This record gives sequence, C-alpha cells and structure tokens, in this order.
Amino acid sequence: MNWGHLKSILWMRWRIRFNQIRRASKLSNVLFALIAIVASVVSIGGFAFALGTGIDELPGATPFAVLLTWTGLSCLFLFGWTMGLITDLQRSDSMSMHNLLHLPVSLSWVFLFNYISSFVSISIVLFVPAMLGLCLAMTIVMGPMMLISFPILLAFLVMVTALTYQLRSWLARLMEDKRKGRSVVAMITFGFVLLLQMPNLMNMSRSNSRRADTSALDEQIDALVRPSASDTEASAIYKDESSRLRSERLERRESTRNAAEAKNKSIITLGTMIIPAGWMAYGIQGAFGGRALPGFLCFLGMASIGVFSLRRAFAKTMSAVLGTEIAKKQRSSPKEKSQDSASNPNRILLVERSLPWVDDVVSAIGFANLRSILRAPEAKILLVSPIILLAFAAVMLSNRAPTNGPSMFAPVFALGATMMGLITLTGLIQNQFGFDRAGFRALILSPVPRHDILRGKNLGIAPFALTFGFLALLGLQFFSPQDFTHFLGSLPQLGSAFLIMCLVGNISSIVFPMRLKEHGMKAANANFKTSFWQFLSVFLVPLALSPLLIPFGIEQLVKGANWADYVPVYLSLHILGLACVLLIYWKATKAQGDLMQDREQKLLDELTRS
Amino acid sequence: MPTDLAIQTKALTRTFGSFVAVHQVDLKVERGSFYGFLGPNGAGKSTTIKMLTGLLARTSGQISVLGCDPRDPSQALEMKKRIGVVPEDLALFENLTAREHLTFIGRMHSMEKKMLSGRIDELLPLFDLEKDEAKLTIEYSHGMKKKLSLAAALLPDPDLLFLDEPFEGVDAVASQTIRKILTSFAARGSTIFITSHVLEIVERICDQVGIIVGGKLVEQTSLAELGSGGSLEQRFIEVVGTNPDQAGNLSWLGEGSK
Repeated sequence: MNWGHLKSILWMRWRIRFNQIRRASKLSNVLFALIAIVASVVSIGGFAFALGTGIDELPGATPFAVLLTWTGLSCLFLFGWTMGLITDLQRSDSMSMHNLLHLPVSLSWVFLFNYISSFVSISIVLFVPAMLGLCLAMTIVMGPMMLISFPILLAFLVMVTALTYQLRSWLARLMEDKRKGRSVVAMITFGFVLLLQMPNLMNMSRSNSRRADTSALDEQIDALVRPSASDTEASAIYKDESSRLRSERLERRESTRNAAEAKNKSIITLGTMIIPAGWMAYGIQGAFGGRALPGFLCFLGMASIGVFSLRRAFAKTMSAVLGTEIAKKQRSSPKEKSQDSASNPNRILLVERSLPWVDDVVSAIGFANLRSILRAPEAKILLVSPIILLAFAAVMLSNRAPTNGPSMFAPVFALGATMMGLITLTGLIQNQFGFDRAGFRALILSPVPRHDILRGKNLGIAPFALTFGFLALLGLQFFSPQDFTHFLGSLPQLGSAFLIMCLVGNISSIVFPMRLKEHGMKAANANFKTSFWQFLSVFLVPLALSPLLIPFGIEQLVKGANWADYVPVYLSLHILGLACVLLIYWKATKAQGDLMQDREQKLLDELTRS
Repeated sequence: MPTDLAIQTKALTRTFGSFVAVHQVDLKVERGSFYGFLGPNGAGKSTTIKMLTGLLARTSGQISVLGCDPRDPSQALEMKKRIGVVPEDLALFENLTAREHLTFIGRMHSMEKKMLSGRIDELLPLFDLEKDEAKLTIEYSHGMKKKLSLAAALLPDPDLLFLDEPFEGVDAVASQTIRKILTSFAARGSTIFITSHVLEIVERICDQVGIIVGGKLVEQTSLAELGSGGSLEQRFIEVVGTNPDQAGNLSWLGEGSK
C-alpha cells in the first residue's frame, strides 16, 4: 500500500462518517457534538484527575487498593469496549475487504489499517487517558520501577483489541448468514445483559445469607420481655441480657463482614491472577509491591495473546476473503436436514391455525405475528428483559423477612406484579409494526379492515404478555401470598390490564411508529418525538392501569357490611371489569382502525422506508 | 370517476417537497389488456404504481382502479380484494418461510383452506422455491424474493396485477416461466400493469404501452400502433431524448489502438 492508497482509504472513511452525519437529523448531530465535547472533557479530566489523585493517594495506598483500582478501571474499560462491539456488529458501513478485493491494494495493509482504526473507540478515548495518568502518577510516586506499568497497559490494550478483533472477524463471517447473524446478536446481547446483572443477583442473594447469620439472635432479642420499671432486679437482668445479645450480634456481624471481606480479597486476587483480563491489575499491583516478575510475566502473557489473536484474525480474514473456507462450509451445510423437516406435508403450520370464536383474519394475523416474534432475534432480546426482571423480583421477594398472613395491600402488589410483567413488553406492545418492515406493505395491501389488523397484532402478543403476567402473579403468590379469591381476582385483572395496554400500544404504534433495524433493537429512523414518546409511554402505563384499583377500593369500602363476608367482592368486580374492558376494547379498536386507515401513508413512510 | 377501464387517472400528480415526481398523468388502461409502463430510471413509474395501489397518497388528481378510488377507505378494501401487487421494494415478512407467507396472504384474502394449500403446492415448485422452503424470506436472494412476491400476488387470482419490475434480478428460466404465467393470466381476461426496463420482454408480451419521462406521460398507445413507426426501443429512445450515437464517444476511446 502506498501513501496514495492510505490517503484514499482515510478519505473514504471520512466520507462515510460525513455522510452519516449529513443524513442524520439536526438533533442527532447536536447530540453527537455534545457527546464529543463531553468525551473530550472526560478524557482530559480523567488524565488530570488520575494523575493528581494518584500523586496524592498512592504513597499511603496498600497493594490491594492498587489492585482494586486497576481491576475497576479494567472492568469499566471492558464494559465500554463490549458495548462498542455490539454496536459495531449492528453497523454495516465498516470498510469491507470485499469492496477492495478487485483494487490494486495490499490486503494485509488494509487489515492492519482496519485493526488500528478499531482503536478509535469511545472506551479508549474515555479510559486510556485516566489509565495513563495513573501510570504516570505511579512512576512519579514509586520511582522508575513503575515504568513497567506503561508496557503492561499497552499489552492489555493490544490483547483486548486483538482478541475482540479476532472475535469480530469470526462474528462478521457468521453474520453473513442472516439467520445465524441475527441469533448471534441476540445471544451476545442476552449474555451481556445477564453478565452485567450477575453481580446484582449475587449481591442480593448474599445479603440474605448475611441476615440469616444473625436471625437467631434477632429472634432472641425480640423475645425479651421488658419488665416494668418498678421491678429493678428484673430490669437489670433484662438490661444485661439485652446488651449481651446485642453485642454478640454486633460481633457476629463484624466477623461475618470481615470473613466476607477476606474472602472477597482472595477471590479478587485469584481472579486477576487467573483471568487474562485481570493481568494488567495483577502485574501493576506486583510492581507496586516491589515485585517486577509478576508484571513482566503479565506483560508477556497479554502481548502473546494479542499477537497470536492478531495473526489468527489475519489468517481467518484472508481465508474468508479469498474464499478458501467455502468448500468447508459447503461440506457441513445443514440445509438438507432442515428441508426434510420443513417439507412434511402433514405438518400444520402455525400460520394455518385458527382460534375458536375469533375471526379467521384476526387469527391469521395473530398467528403470523406470533410466528414472527418467535423468530425475530430483536423480539427475543426484548423478551429477555421480563425473564431477568422476574428473576430479580423472585430474589428480592425471597429476601424479604417472613410476614404473618397476607398483607392488606396484597391486591395492590398483585397489580404491581401484573404491571411489571406487562411493562417489560412495552417494546413490543407500543411499537407493533416496528418488526414488520417491508412486511407492513403486505398488511396495507391486504383487503382487511384495519381494526382486524390491530386486533390480530394484539392477539399475537397475548401469549407472551399473559404468560409473563401470570408468572409474576404466581411468583408473588409463592413468596408473598394473598387470599385465594384475591389471587383469582388478579387473573381477570391481568386480562383487563393487557387489553388496556394494547389500546395504549395501538395508539402509540399508529401515531409514533418506529422501524427497527434488521439486526438489533436500534430504531432505523428515530426522531426526538418518537423516542420521547416511547420513553414516556413506559411511565404512562401505571396511569392507564390505575382504574384497575377500583375493585380494591370498593372492597375496602364495603368491608364492614355483613354480606361482604359471603360475596367475593374483589373477584366479582374484576370479572365484571374484564367484561367492561373487553367491550371498550372492541369499540375502541374500531376507532383505532379508522385512525390507522387515515395514517396509512405516514405509517408506510416511517416503517418501510429503507 | 365511474369508468369501464381497469385503470384510469386524471391529472395524477405527486410532489415530494419542490420535486415533482409525477405530473398531470392521464392513464387509460383497458380491462383485459397487458399494459407496459416504461420510462428511464427516476421517471416516476414506481411512484405511479404506489399511488395506484394505495401505497402512496397522491398530491392531486383522480384515480380509478377497477372502478374504486384507493383514497376512499371502503373502496380501497374492495379494490385490494381484486388486485395483486408486486411493489418496488416487495412486501414480505422476513421472519416467515415462503409457505407461511403465502398462507398468510391467502388467509387475508379469505381463501378456503383446501384451495389455498392446493395453490401454494402449485406455486412453490413453479417458481422453484420448493427446495428452499425451510429458509426464511430474509435469507432469500433478491430474485427469490421477487418470485415469492409474484407468487403472493397471483395466489388470490386477482382481476388486476400490478408488477413493478418483475423481471429484475430474476434468472432466465424464471423469467420465461413468469412470462408464460403472465401471458396466460392476461389471456383469460385479467389485466396486467407492468413496469420493466427490459424492452424486448415488454415488446413481446404487452399490447399497450405508456412511456413516462420526468414525471410526464409522453406516450400512450397500443403496441400495434407503435410498431408501425419502428421498434419499441427506437420509439423509447426518441421520447426519452438520449442520443445513443454519443454513447461511444469517450475521449480516451478514440485515440487509436492501446
């Protein structure tokens, strides 16, 4: 590659970026500029802060504190880096080598250029200056021995970038297969969300075991009966016993905390020693403690991984670009197997099914929508959040101290659980046509009344909404039970809540449609109004569902009446409520269908524009 | 605008901001005819088809498709029951297989179950899509998507077919199949409105043509009438206004041998 090639490639990258900015809305450009300013400030500020604080605090710091600081920095950097990786996977404007194959350019140089370009990322801009500042502070405070922290930092960056570059080449090849590619994005996002939530879950479940440690003493303290003030002897015994138990509890808590801290310390030290991502922290801590060998070994290890990954990424990219992998791919093609299963003539397709008492067209749209949701990775990603939220709720509820009998407000909690189950599906309910993309044209071209399209769409989401809502109610019933009639009442309440959500979601989908990009959950053409509404709608859900508290209020009002003991007021009112909501839904969807008809052109423009 | 014509427009106009994509177009397409709608890139062919099928609102003018106005909601549904459309950017659900998509379209047209599955069984092998039945439409090549889109348009046996570039990206065998299907479709009295860049095909299968240039309809005649004045290609180049003689005049091509 000569200087002219390099200049041309740089120019091309600049044009791609420039055209992106030019095509984006003014608001996006303002946001982009703001982010750039904030990033610059954070970058320079981070360097100055790390240098200043380092010089100030390092003389009195323990090696473990240094380890903890560098581990924290590594984690933050890796978090930002992973986010960047997911975003990159969804981007299609990267400099593809395929576009350069026919040109007289050295591919190895293009590869190297691409790799070096991958350094220009927000996480490097944000965190590396702070890391450099800390390295400099360590050198100033601890002397030339700490100069080793600079090559260690460099080796860490090479390792992470080269490793992810290798991973990215592999993922990029996987993404060429559209079906696999979409699943890859879904899996990565799912794994990422789960990984991020893991510490939270662990922390929550651990706090439970801590409390259990002193629960016996808590009970003993609670069981102490305070004698009357006149009985001085008993009062003295009570005082002694109480203070003994309290100090014992304090001691036990302290020892539990100390044990946990010691355990954490050894886990973190061991983790940074074993996991390559922690080698930077471990090596620098070693050097800080006066041992150069761990630092040198960590540098060597990370540099080796980096170089090996880069070589491998290069070899793999070249073989993919030059087509040497094609024969291998063809040998292991699973197509034939899947074709056999698909061409079974007796199999009834999901889209062929009908529901009793439901219009055939509504059934068809409902089942087609359900089929699409089950296959669309972006929808699968959306469905992940209710699962995680339910897991969180379960852990939180299991941590609650046991109570005697159901709370008076148990029905309110049940509505909360229902709401939680449904709110997590707002991405699907509030933007029902977002996943259809070109398929939306088929809906518009179909000779079907528009209210039937809306009802069918709602029907397609019902299995998810009702399942998540029911699971939330069931979980609540398990951990914090309510009366059985209240539990039964919360089932029609769930139905009503879903229908109300659908009515709000239909309006949102018609007035603020948002086309989602093929490989992810990113909006393809989001403007401020649409994004703001989608954000706001999450908070509007509780407001829309608040009328569902009326049966609870009425039940409280009639509680004193004789007949109230024999009539399941809550349950009856919710059944009646469901019937009313169903009627309102039926009427309202007709009006919403007319609205959809009126806005058909706008919807087409927003949802099918490529 | 009551009419016996399959398609009729009066002063049909569509603007995008200050850009006039379609300007005062008066189309007349007789029932049972095979109408070729021609024009260079960006002339307004797809915009016109979109307006005729209700995929795009007109800025002004009148439209009648099978006697219905696509702007009137009740008439639009009536019209959609009787038309089949292959739009420019297609209309496929990417997470469904070919069979699932066709089943869905058939059910939207309230087709009887047995008839629907019978027609799908005929259409899939005819368009050579049977062997890729397990694939989702998102995994299809452009040509396969086009064939599936055409199969979906044919499925409810419409009275009028709108096809926007049906031969684009389709292989020669499929192209011949499509030609045969369309010819027999038109032979039984149905109407076809087609846009295509392949003038030879249009010349072979159409009986009426309209040429649109810069959003204006500059020619609308029967092919028989057009044939008396030369070939379709000749006439097309005449009205489009390009001088083919200049095409080979690149400065560096006239400098002798290499």
